[in-house]
Amino acid sequence: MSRAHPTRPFILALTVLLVLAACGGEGTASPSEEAPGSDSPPGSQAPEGGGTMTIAWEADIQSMDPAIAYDYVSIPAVHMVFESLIGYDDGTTLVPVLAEAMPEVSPDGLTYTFVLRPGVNFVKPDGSVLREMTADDVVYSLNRVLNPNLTPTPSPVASSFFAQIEGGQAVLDGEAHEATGVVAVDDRTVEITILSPNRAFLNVLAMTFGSVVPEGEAGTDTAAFSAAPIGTGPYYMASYTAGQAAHFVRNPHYWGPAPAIAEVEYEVGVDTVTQTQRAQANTLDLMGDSIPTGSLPEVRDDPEYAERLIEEATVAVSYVSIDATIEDPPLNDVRVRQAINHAIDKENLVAVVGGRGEPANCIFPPAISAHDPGCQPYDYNPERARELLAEAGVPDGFATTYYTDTTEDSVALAQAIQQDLAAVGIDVEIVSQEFDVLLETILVQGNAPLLGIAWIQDYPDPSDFYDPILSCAAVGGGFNTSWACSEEADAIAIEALSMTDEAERDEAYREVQRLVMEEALWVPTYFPTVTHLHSDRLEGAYFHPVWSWEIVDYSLSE
Amino acid sequence: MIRYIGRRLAWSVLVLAFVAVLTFILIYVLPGDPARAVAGIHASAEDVARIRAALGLDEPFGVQFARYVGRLATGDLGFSFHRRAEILPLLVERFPATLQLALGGLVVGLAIGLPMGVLSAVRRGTSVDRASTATTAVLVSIPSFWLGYVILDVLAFRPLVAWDVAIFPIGGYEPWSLRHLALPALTLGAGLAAYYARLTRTAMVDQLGSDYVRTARAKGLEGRLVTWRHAFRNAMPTLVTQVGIDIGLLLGGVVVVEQVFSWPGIGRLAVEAIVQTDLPLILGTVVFATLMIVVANIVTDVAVAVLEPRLRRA
Repeated sequence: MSRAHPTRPFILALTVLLVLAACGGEGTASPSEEAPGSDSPPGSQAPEGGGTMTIAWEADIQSMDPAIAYDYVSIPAVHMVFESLIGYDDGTTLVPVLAEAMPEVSPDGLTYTFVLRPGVNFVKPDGSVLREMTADDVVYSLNRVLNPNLTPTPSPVASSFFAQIEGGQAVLDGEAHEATGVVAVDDRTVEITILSPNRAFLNVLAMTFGSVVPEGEAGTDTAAFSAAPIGTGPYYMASYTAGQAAHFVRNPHYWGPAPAIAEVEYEVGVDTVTQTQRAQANTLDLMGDSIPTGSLPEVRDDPEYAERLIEEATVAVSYVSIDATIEDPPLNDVRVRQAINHAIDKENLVAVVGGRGEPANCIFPPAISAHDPGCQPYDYNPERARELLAEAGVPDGFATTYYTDTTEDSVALAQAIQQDLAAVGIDVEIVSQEFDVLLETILVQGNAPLLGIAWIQDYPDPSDFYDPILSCAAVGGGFNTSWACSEEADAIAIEALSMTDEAERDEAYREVQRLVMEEALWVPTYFPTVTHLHSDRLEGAYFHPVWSWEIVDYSLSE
Repeated sequence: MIRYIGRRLAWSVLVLAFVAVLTFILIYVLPGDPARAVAGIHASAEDVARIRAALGLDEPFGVQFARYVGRLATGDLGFSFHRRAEILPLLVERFPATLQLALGGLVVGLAIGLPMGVLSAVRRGTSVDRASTATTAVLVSIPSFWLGYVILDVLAFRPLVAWDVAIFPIGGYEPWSLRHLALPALTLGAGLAAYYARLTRTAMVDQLGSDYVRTARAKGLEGRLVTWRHAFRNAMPTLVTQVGIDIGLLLGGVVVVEQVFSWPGIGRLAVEAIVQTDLPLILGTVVFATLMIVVANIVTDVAVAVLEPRLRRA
């Protein structure tokens, strides 16, 4: 009898559990149960049905204001509600969106003339039409990104991308309210003039920062506009509970083809393991985040999930940058930097991150038009590495330091690289810092001899993988963490900015890449891929190289 | 009694002020550039400088500190850098989730822990006691993130995938939904139960060995009456004090369990604030958690004073 007693508390606990379960009713958490289109306003012209799709993210939406939002959770959400003059097809090709056609470019490559699509409406968070979009809204929106008085903070990319508009710097400096380079010629025509020819400027306009917002509604208070965003996009944001979910509803007044999915529940604060399990169990339609490394083998090796797995390369490159100005150890000697390139086994690095990537031959990722499979300057060859070190006068190697952030993958990569370099006599100490601390460290020359980091595109153009991180102008003022550059490459890159012939331009960037690799300022390590799982009923889902998720292209089966 | 409460309140304000000031100083001296954290890796030095100025981070320590204290005095916790939103509403919005989890965890913890502790004490030295002690030792040592994932896997995920039976949702929150609350409450409650069982056992063993219990038994009182009406009643103040402290701690945010179960409470908010170096939000969550502890302590003290008249005059 006494033996039976210890189980009593557990029976009690079990009873409590069962009671709790019973109280909760019988419904499953399946998103399909919500009545599709229930929030649609009366008089909707959109097709009936379509269902409610769920997508979940670990982090929160930081802002729905396109002038501010610049994180991977906010951008796909902003992209549902807002549109720019131009955008992308399902890949990286620019297409007109709010503009009727691609702009006419003046012969000097400085002035872009856009004719706006007629009948585009701004839609409020209650689903009603605010008014029609005009050229004045476009002018207002571009100046708003430059406005230094936005609260609580100005735009993070105002000077990087928008100061190239003629008169943009004056707005940034608070000396003018409107840039002289953005003019509404008439109600439906906008002329934008930039300071020097730049082919990538169209990519800048296609970013969410280039979104058109309604003048008079989007003021300087970005928090207020974020709470009640008004855009022209295929969806409007009907509600948002911070930390829980945003609810998007199909815009019945949309100018374009109506998206198939009626509503989108954009859940935030959902752990990645939970996302994976819910997608496996079909109670989540799409994982916003990648499957965590720990859960990856289980999902990838199970044939049941094969059809529902999305494995796609991102437009990004993971690399080790070498401070080429350091004399002791002699990182300023190109042979030493080349030796480091030969010493690192990239196939192994990809294995270390769970196979989520492919070895990086050079700088430009596969989705960038200037990607060059023939660029293979350094094979994995520890023997050659030792020879080069001997030639450089350090046959016994040296000691140095490798900085990286604190994520699991970064630390694992660091350790693998540490082993590779130890094999050729280079003794590496690893310092891993929280990302914002790391940023502070590495922006001081000489602090980080070796740095393990990744660059994710601002837009899918080769210039974005050279200008901010490898150009001479980015030494000091930008993010060139090798603190050195190839002047020969720089001259070509500057010329390439104004080239109009795509093939010629790509060829120029391939040459830039070759020259930079010859200097061995980096060890490009791998091009990361993402691995996501979606539900059985989600159809047509794919990973978009710019927006991550292009929900207008997906549908739900009944 | 009123003077007693008044004195406790005055102390509490001091404690709050001390924590607020200390946290501000600690955060200020930590490495890392919050303006860069807000702006991101792609921002130019010029844009970072503009953001730094907009957030007032370019001003000297004294100015920033004075402004922080001034605002705090009026109950204004400031603006979150990353979320670009007022902090107080953020906390208020998250509080119900944390409150439900805390209450759920306590109910599970007490429902299991109290009977287990009493039983152990009454049957001290028997196999029941040993089994109970072993169980609590295991439960106390299990980290809740591990237990949480196992519970999620076994009770929510497997049944759904294997038999298409949705007993519990795989994480997530719905206001006052017991189905959503059950598993996180069980995870949180398991650790608390083990702790309360040990505490109850110790307190009960003390009481059961005391003179008045022996007298009661000598008077011929029934065993159950002695255990519950005499011994347990007198063990209560110890338990109430501990539960009171725990309520305060839990209401400040249940970091790990909230994380594992995607529970949108204060604990998750605090973690995100730290990950993003969102200084005002870190400060806000710390001050809020302190406030919860302080308030819970006052309420507990009053409750104990009611249970234990001797303390009222102390």
